[in-house]
Amino acid sequence: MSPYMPGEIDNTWNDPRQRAPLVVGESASFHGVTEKICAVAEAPRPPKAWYIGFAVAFTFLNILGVMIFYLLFTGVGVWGMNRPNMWAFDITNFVFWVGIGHAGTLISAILFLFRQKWRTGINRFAEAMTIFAVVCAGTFPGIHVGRVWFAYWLFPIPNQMSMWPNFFSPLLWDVFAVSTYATVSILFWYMGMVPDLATFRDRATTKIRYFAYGLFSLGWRGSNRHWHVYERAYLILAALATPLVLSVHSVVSFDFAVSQVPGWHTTIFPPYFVAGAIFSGFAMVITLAIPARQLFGLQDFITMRHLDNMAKIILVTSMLVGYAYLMEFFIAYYSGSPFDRFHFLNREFGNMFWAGWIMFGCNAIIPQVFWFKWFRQNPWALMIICALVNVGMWFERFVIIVTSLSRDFLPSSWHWYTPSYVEVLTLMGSFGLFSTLFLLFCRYLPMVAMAEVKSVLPQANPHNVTGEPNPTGYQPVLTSDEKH
Amino acid sequence: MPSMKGKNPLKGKKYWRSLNEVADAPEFKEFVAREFPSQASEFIGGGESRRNFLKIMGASAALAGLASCRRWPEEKLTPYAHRPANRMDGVPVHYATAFERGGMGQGVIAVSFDGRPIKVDGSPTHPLNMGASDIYLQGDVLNVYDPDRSRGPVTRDGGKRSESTWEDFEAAAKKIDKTRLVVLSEASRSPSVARLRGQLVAAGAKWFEFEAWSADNQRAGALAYFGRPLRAVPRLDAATIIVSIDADLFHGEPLSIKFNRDFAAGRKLRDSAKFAEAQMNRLYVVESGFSITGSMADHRRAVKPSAIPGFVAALAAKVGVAGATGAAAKELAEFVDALASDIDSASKTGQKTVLVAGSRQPAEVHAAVAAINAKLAAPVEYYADPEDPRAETGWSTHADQLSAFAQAAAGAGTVLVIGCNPALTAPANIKIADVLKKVTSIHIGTHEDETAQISAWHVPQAHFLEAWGDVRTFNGAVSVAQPLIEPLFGGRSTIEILSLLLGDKKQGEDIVRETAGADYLKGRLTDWNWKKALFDGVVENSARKSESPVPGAAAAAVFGKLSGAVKSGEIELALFAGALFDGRYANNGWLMEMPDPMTRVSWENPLIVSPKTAARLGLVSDDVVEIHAGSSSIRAATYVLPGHADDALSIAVGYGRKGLGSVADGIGGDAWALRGDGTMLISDVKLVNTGERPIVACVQDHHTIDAVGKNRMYTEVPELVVEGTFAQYKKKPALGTRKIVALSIFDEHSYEPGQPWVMAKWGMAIDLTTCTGCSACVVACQAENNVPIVGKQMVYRGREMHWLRIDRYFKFARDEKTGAPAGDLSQGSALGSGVDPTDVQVVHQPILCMHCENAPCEEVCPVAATTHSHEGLNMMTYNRCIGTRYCSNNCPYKVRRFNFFDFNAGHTYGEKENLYTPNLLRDDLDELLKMQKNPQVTVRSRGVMEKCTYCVQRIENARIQILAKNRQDAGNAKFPDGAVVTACQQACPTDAIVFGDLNDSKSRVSQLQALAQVYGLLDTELNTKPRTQYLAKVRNNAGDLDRGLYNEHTASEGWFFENTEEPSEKTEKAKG
Repeated sequence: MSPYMPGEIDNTWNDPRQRAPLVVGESASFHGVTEKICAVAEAPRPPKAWYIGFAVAFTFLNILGVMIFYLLFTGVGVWGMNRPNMWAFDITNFVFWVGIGHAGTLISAILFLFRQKWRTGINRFAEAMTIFAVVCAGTFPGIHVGRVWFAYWLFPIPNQMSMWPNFFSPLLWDVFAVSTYATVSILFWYMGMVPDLATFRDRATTKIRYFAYGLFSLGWRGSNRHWHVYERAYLILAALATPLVLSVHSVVSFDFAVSQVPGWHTTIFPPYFVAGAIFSGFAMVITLAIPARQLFGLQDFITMRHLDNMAKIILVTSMLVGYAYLMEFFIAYYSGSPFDRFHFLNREFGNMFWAGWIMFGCNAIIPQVFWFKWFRQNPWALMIICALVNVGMWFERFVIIVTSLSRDFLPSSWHWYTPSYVEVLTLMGSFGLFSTLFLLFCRYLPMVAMAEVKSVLPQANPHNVTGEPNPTGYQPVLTSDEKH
Repeated sequence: MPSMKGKNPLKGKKYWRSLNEVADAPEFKEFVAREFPSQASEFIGGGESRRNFLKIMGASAALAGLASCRRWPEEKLTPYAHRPANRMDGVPVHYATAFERGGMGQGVIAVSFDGRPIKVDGSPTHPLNMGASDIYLQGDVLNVYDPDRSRGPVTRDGGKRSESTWEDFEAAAKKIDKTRLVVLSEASRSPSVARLRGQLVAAGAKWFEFEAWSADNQRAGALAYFGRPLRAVPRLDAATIIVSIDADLFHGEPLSIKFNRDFAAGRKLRDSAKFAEAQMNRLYVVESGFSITGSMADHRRAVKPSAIPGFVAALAAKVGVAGATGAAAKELAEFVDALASDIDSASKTGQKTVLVAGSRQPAEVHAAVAAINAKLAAPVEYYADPEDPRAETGWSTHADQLSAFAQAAAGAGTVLVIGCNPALTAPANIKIADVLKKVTSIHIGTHEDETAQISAWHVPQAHFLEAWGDVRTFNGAVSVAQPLIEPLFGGRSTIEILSLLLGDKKQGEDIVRETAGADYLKGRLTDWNWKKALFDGVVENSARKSESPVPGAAAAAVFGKLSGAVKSGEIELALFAGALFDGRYANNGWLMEMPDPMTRVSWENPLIVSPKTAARLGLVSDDVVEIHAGSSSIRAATYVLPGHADDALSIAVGYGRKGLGSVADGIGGDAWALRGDGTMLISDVKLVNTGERPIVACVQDHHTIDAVGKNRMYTEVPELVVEGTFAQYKKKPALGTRKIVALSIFDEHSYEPGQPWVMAKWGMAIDLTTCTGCSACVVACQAENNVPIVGKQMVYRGREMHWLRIDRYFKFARDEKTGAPAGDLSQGSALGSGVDPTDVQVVHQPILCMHCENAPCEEVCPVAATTHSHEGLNMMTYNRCIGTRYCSNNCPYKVRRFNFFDFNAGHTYGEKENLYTPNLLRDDLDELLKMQKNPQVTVRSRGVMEKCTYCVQRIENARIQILAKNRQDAGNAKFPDGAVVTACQQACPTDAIVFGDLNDSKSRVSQLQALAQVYGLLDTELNTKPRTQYLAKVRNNAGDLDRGLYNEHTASEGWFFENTEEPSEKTEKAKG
């Protein structure tokens, strides 16, 4: 139990005879859930910290806008790229953000299919994060091309030239993979939100809120028929989204694996990228969840148990990623390819060795502390380690892209890479975009899937109405509307 | 080019208005002076307008008749009913013309496109060029369109500059007292100049000749040895052993183009039917710097400049020249012995040896070299030079001419400076500025250079493509120069101005014809002969016979003067002519941006230091040092170059300009200022490290390389540049090349003839044995393909646009067992790449698009902007490219270039030190630069990828002609060998680049690609099937003079099959 969060209820025991409660404290009732979640959006004004965060985020969003404007009107040369480093921050950021966007769908789709009930506390939150990350990710391939005004040629649009895109190119697969992923994620997120939006609508006190939530709740009345259709659709979307979790980052990894640059041309990339994406996605969920639950008082929903579970996933994926790192080394040695051998030596001991070690250290070594319970359950430790994981994962993409490109085949073409200020500010600006969207989400939309959380409360279990032993010692008080 | 906005603006109007001078009809003048579209009203109007219209048509036809010398009028609204003779829109016209540099005539073929010269190449009939070029020749066409060229006569009174007119100048010229006229002219062997000079001198004028980068030390040496200042023309093609004594044979010497060709003629192993019977010459080089000639050497020693006379004396003594005594410095003793014994054994089998000394060597060395050559009966031709003005006044060197001029000018009424720039290039001990300021001086030049800035008058000189003229080359053969374009800025040629001074004011063509009638076409000046001379590019039977001089009276004394011919000092400095020659190409962006073949630095003239000396002085690359010599000092960035002589420095001249133009100004340091007297070898310099480290735009190996990268280079480069010795080649011509047997699960495209659309299977062979790294191909490619320059900052950032680059790799002695570098590597740490600074070789490898059959770039382009043609070209569709840059990432050769900015329109080098200044919306291309662009090649905008196309525009031109000829049987039409010549191939003086049809087994490229020593770069590793193939480099060492440098390299771990003599058999076996 954290010393920093007095009053928090410990639900992190592992007693196989008893399921630990997923919602704790005063919120562990149908009414409690509704009140607690709606309170965030219905409060007359958000906490001060929200304003500060929003000001910072919005500033960076504006910086992003200025940087993109400058880029588009001037040329890609305002970034620090050169030959041979034709990609650098742009694609690094793209892959980084796409990776972040993996946790949401994993939580909402795969964990749903596996009946992992603890997902309900964090899934809305993670899905929103996914969508905002995909928005950030989608920005970069869009603006990084030399002639942005023709970027639509990437899409197979019938045209007078009878010209199709090149279906051999992994970049084209990217277009399909990421756009499909974005579409399904948004649908999934929005559809799951409809019952909660209806709750907001029903509780609305102003006309604007009533109209806006009313519009987006699509006339949800909560009838049995609605619930039936909803749950069926949710299941289908979850089934659709599940392969996407694996496919998107696999396809993104093809950008590299299909090419022949030493350090890119590796068959391990698809699973390695997916593991890395889940790894970084969960790290980002924790990084955001810890301050958010504190700020909006969601400790009852995002409990220590949730954090503990996520830390365990991070530990597993960290080891997967670490295994992939080592396996790359082994294969480079075992293949006998002098280019690959050189590349991996160069990655750890060459002129950009620091980037290689940041990646290896942050991703494969530091998360090993999650073997210890204290680290899994101390919010500060979790925050710091997860932030480091995010740094490490950004560097992983940077190392793969820049270290590989900067020294490929002909030594005469080797060239150092230095980012320009525009690139750095664009990266920071993308965090601004992400944070702005996220803060708006926190303020105006249901951060926790109320309807789903209610379904995992002990009260929702038809066999449990008489009250199963309640280890928290908290006796739910049934409110009048829940009695019938 | 920088914008002309705000500075001497040149609008389209002004440019087109110069047509007035074209057609003399006053109505036409008036008509053309009007602007479109008001002209359109003329056509709709009444009868009078119709008359005007007919006049225009008449005038246009007249222009067409004048052919070579006129720009076409802009006629947007007058389509022809009948095509005028000699004109077909969009079809380039070729003209033979000529120019001279440093008094050496060169013949060129200029390509004119709708009246604009866009490209020049060496004339195939000219004895010097024989079709080939050097960087200067290729770059010269850009000078025509230099926006910083002077635009009209200018007067200066004190510091006050005012623009004047030709009328004013003519009026002033009339008043000149010819008896008090003193002329300082650039070297010129033009018969017309000589004739007019004769008239001026007869009228009492005094004439002096001055070239800063002068080859006349050789002639001073001949004067000492033979008693006559003969021009020596060593025949490298007739010699088996070539000894270069501080001579950069392949760059910057007057005969460099010929040297390149003749040298390569002795190394064409590829041409001998049986490899065991191949012959190969051997090049010994002794020099202080590390020139491209040194990089081609079979044996080389780097010594201080002051050690070179001793070397010559010792060699002379060894080969038994009478009167020669002396011993070489101890580091050269072994070298001299080996060389002398090699010469001896060669002469026993009747093989010839020739020695060549460099232009900057003093006359004493040249005299001694002439003596040794005479003793060895070396193949050297000697030619008299009767047009030399100094022949009349008593021959003296250019440095002495300048002092004599300074004395004569003191009492002169008027001083006329033609073409040269003594205010920049004069030695410090001649205060030329004081001389010119005291008298009324007239400067004739293309730019308002340093001399113009202190002269009372500056009048613009026409470019050679704008003027009539005639030139003589080394053997006296005359070429007539004809203009391709009316002077863009109203410049006049030297002969026109001289004629003006003589009071005749004749047109250039009349002057030249008059000279022809009096001189080289004497008695046979008919219209037919005149046209034939223009057509051929060389006047028939104008070449002289070489002389057979006998040693003169003072010949015995030449060795006595050798010792002390070059002063020695603790640290000696040698000046050399880099990319800018003597500085006359300083405002030429192509040459400024061309990376030096040895240092790979552009936009800079770094001070080149050896690793040991750098370590001793505490310098590393990029350190800015102050160089003090005598009373002068300049600043320059350091470049540590392995293989450079210790305790010696080298720096290129012509940089560090002020007020010349937007490219040249403020780049590098003015090394001319360091010359105390006339010599290019400066005995004692002091260096002060300023501690500054600015950016130096080096395109290769610039950044410090760590141990991992270093080790990789040690093992990889020998596989990229396959190299062997001549002895190894004779045993096994495949050398270290390898082949891989790659079995494909797909049916590979065959590109066989007979398939629809397949007229050829294009391929290229590059012979590393003959490539000297002269870089003419780099500039030729830039000129042909509208490749923009990007400026220093962008080069520094690795964004240069050259489609063809020449990679330079160092090779050093390696321990046979460990493969590690031999020698003390710690000294090399200053460079970062850690090479043994004593035993170094350099290889040049031209890299352009390989046109892989399995092109990695094509598959990854998402919009199919880069695709494969039916004939195997890897094509780039600029209009389709959206700039994802994935193709460049996947290209293992990194030959693709990306337009990070709108380089073609951008003013990238206005701000040389700053970042590219963005223009938010695309600017139009500079009007002047538009004129130079090749209209058959797209001018790429920002955001698109570009690369070598194998000059696809030339292929398509040839195809159109071939198909037009074979209309009946177009399906079977083939390209005859040589029908398509790429720009790089055309420029190459050593014929190292061969292009053609691989389906034609008799084509040269097919035969070369069938040789055993051929390999595809990274082909075995990646199976890219490159169409560009390399012929392994062969060096011809004599014994183990360079300990370990000739070790056979071993291929890396057993991935690949070693190539055998018959690779095809092995392939068959493996398949079976």
